[in-house]
Amino acid sequence: MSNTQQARAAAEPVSTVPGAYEVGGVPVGSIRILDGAITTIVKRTVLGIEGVARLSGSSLIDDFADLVRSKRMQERSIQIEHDGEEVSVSVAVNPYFGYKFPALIDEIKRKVTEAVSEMAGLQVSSVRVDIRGIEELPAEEPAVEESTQDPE
Amino acid sequence: MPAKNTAKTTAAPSAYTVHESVIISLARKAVSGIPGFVRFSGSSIVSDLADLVGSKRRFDKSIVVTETDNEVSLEILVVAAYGSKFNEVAAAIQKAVYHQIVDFTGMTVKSIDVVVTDTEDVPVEEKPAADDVVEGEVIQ
Repeated sequence: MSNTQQARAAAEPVSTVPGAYEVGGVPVGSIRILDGAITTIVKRTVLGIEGVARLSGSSLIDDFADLVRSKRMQERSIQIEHDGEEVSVSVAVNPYFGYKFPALIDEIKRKVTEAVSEMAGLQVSSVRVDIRGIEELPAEEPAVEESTQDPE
Repeated sequence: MPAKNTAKTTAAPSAYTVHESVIISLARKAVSGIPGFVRFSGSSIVSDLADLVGSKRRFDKSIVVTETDNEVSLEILVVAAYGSKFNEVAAAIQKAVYHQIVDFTGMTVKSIDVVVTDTEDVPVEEKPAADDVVEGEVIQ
C-alpha cells in the first residue's frame, strides 16, 4: 500500500483489503470496504450478545431511522476509526441489569474483533466500549435461562 | 474525456463499438449468482421504483464504467452477505466480471474495483419443497 493510499484510507471511511483476483500475477483491481459495512457487522454482533439491551441512543426514533435505512443513527453509537490498515471500533451500549460489565465488555471486544476480521478481513486494533445506560429486563420475558430451553 | 454516454465507443482495431450499457449488462449478468453477493448497492427501494417505471438508469449507478483507449475500467458497488468473507466475494466478482468482459467483448480490462458498501442477510428464497416430497414418495 502506497503512502497516498494510506493517507486516503486514513482520511476516508473506506478500507482497502488484499485478496483481489489476479491475472498474470497482477491484481485486476482493488477491493474496498466502506465503514457502513463494518458498522453493520459491529451492530449485529453486539446486538446478538446476551445481556446487551440495545445500542445507546437507539430508541423509537432510531427504529424509524432503521426502517428508512438511515445509517446516521447507528453511526452515533458506533464509530470506526482507521489506523493504517487496522481499524479501531467504538461502540456505545446499554446492557440489562444483572449482567456484570467486565465480562460483558470482554465478550463484546472478543466477538467484534472476531467478526470484523472474519468478514471484512481487517485487523481490529482496539474495541472501546461505552456503557451509557442500563435497562430493566422486559417483564414479559423474565428469566434469561428460559429462552434456550423448552421442556415438555 | 467523452461527456456523453451515448457517444462513448471503443476504438477497437476491428472497428466495432461496445456501448457502455452493454458492459454494465455483462457485468451484472456475471455477478448475479455469485455466492456471498446479495445485491448491487443502491438497488433498493428507489431503484425498485425505477425498475417499476422502466428506467434502468438508477440501477446502473452501482456499476460505473470508464472507457479510455480501448481499455475499460469498472467500479462495482455491492452488498455482501452477512457472514461471508468480503474479500473472497469481491475476488469472485472480479474474476467473473473480468472473464465475462474479456471473453465476450474482446476489450482490455484495465481495472475492476469492487466496493463492499454494506452487509445483509441473503434473502431466503421460497422453495416449494412440497412438490419434491410428493415426487420422492413411492406411489404404488
